[in-house]
Amino acid sequence: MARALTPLHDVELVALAAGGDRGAFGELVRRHGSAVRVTLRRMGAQPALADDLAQDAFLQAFERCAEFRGEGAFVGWVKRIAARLYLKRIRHNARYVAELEGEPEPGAWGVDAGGRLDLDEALKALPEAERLCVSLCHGAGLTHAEIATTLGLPLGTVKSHVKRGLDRLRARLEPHPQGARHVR
Amino acid sequence: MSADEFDPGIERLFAETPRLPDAELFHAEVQARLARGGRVRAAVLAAAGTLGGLVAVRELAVINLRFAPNSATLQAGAGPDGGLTAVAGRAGVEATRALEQAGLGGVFGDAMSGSLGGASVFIAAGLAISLLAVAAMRLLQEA
Repeated sequence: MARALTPLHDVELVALAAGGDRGAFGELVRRHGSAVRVTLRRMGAQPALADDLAQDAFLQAFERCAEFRGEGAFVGWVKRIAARLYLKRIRHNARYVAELEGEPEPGAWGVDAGGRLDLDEALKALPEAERLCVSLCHGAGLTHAEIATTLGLPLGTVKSHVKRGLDRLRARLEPHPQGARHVR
Repeated sequence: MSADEFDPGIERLFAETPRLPDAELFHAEVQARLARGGRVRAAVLAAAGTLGGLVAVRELAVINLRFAPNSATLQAGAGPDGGLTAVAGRAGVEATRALEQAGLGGVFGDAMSGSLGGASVFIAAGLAISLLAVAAMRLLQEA
């Protein structure tokens, strides 16, 4: 008998998924798949890698559904799983970590063609380390300590990256009545 | 995170994520991987259960042989339960032969006569039976 999963709350779907209901979990993937993929892309993952890691994160989440206590949003929980997978991936890439001070992408301004605030564009304008730390902290909800431990960076460095990155984001996303302006 | 770093505007922007155009494709890929993972797990559990069952059968055969008064029991089936004993014995011998043909007889023989005692084998057999039951349940769920 076909069940209507759409009206169910995430917590109800997770409970069904914990019992092995792949259909219920599929509904969760349908609802939150894009959010997890976008979060990974915001951290700096290339789209293909972001998609692979997002799939892995959802598969892990399915295996660990019984651990989800419903204290926060399901999507936040999966984002944290995905972020940890991404950190694990880049931690093994010593060159990447060494080059975390990389330059931002040229031409990124933080305001889209229609003059709307565009977080993704603004993030691209940040130096790599700041973009990663801000996205991990505010996009995926990881703590500074967890980021520092996983990346092998001093805690103070991570905090500095987050603070500087947020300052730059605020400056870039500040509404300007005269239209798009860039502050660096 | 300190309080002055918290910015509701930034938090709101991070929480807003667009729905990607290939969201349905992503959903289908995850579902396919979930299904594939379930099948592989069921197959592994079934294989483990089968293997454990073979070990259990072999151990039963060994015990039967140890308690038999003499080797003639296996052939003649003497005594009130001799027929059953003989059948069990023959099944054990056949299982042992099958394991040996599969190249596993030595491994299990060594394990049983070595540091692993009969109790260990019974525990292994119990675990194997449990695994088999789990595998059967998973297969039923998949059906």
